Amino acid sequence: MHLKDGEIKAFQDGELSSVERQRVESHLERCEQCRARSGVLSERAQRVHHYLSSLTPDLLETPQPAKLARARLEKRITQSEKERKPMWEKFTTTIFSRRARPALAALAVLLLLAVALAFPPVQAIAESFLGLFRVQQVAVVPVSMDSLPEQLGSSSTLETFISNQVDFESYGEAEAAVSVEDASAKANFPVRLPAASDGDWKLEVQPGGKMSMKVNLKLAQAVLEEIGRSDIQLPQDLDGADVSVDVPVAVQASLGDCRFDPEQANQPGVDPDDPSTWVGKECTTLIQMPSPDITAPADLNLDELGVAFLQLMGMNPQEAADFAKNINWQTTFVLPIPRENTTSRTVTVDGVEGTLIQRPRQRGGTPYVLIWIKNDTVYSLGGVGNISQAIQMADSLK
Amino acid sequence: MTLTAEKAYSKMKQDSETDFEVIFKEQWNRIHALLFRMLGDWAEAEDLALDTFLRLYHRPPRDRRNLNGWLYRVATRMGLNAIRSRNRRQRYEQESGFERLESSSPGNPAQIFEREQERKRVRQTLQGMQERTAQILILRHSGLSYAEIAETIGVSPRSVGTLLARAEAEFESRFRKIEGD
Repeated sequence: MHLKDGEIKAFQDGELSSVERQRVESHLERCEQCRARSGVLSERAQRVHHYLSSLTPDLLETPQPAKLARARLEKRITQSEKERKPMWEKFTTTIFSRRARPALAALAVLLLLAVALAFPPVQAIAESFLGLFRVQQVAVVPVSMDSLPEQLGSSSTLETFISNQVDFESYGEAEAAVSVEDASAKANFPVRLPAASDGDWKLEVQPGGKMSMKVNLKLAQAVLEEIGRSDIQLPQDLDGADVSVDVPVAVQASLGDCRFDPEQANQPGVDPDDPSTWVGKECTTLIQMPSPDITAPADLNLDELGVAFLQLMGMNPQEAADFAKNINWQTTFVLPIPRENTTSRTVTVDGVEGTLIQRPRQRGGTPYVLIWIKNDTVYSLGGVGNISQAIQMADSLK
Repeated sequence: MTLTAEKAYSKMKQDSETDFEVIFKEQWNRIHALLFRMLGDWAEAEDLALDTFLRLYHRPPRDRRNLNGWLYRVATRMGLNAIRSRNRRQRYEQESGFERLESSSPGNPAQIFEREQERKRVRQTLQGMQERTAQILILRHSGLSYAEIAETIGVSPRSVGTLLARAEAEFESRFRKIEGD
């Protein structure tokens, strides 16, 4: 058995263990053929080395010292943070992204809303946001993106905070269902599908989950300080409160090309939140989920928490107090939407009052999300295109 | 031992910042020099090195155990892309009648010219190779050990010798072709 090129190469580069080195050495001593091969490889290596060394910097061509480079990097970081989309923008983009994600991301979001701290990790999908409190209605807060704390968009501290403070538990994996009956059985609630639609709905049962945390008021305030909003007062009774959210199983039905290719989104240089990278632009999704339960101490001052939340969304204390007066925080899901490029209005859908949220028209049509709550079940229909068809579809649910 | 909330918070914050600073200090010069080797221009190399670290800052890899390997991989990829687009640009510049000189360096003009020609051929050779093959050569000649190379390109350390021997053979034959042109 002769030596392989790789072994000879590693031997010449001094990259063999002592045992292997001895073996190669003694083989070379007695094998003329391998010695000759070794000579060829080593001469070639020298030539290649010579060529590649021409690339080595001359002594006089000195690089920037690391300190100076660090200062330049800082400048670039500051610049890029200005250019980075605020997380807020990502969130609203994500509302329309139709990407099904497991309940965990949604749980993080629920937590954030629940403790009125800030905005969701990027992955969250709005359809799953609806779980806050036992939701009976939806209220829309128009938010001016300019008045949001800039750091909200890039606070890695916030993400670290969540990962350190909150326990997540997911009850399994998403599972496909073959029929409405199958989905209803798996999800343990009656699943409805529109009668007025062409094509086959694909059904997927999303696992439920549970998020729990013990609120640490000082930490929460430290995060507010970090994002420059130390003026916002959190209710004192929040400290030490055990908050938990039970998110029930949800069923997602999708129609059309709804593929989402995570491989593609994770490619370097691809912004996973850029709509043009999504696969499946011809996609309509219907999500239904029993209203989730949130457990918090009975004496927790939800109004005060709500006001803090609204302030964080850019309202001044007076506006926040006025707005909050009209909201029952126990039963209302407050969905912030950007004032600048998103519209919302109340529509009648499925026999109840619902909320229609629309984004500006883009390639392929106008993205919309229709949200309503009926019989303690939250529905959300999202897609791109014709609204009256969407309402028709929702009205035909059986 | 229990930390108070504020301490825990500030420690948490500092840890991630410190990690980044440590890596920056350790690796800046190596990454910068690596890109210089590939590009022959300190300013351009710095630009790409900064981008490499900016990426680490904003979008670090999920698996943090092998940050150095990740840095080398990102940097060499950026470097190779830059050589490619530069070659396109140079073709255009040559066609349109002017040619940009690479960064000026000391020595007599004939020597400088000679060396610049060789550097150019070497880069051209690297650029024509498969990305991974070119990466292996660049990384090895930037002083990385087999273990570090293996980490960077995601192969077993045992196969690095073989890949390197092959890469050298391929480099030489391509280089000769370019020289013969």
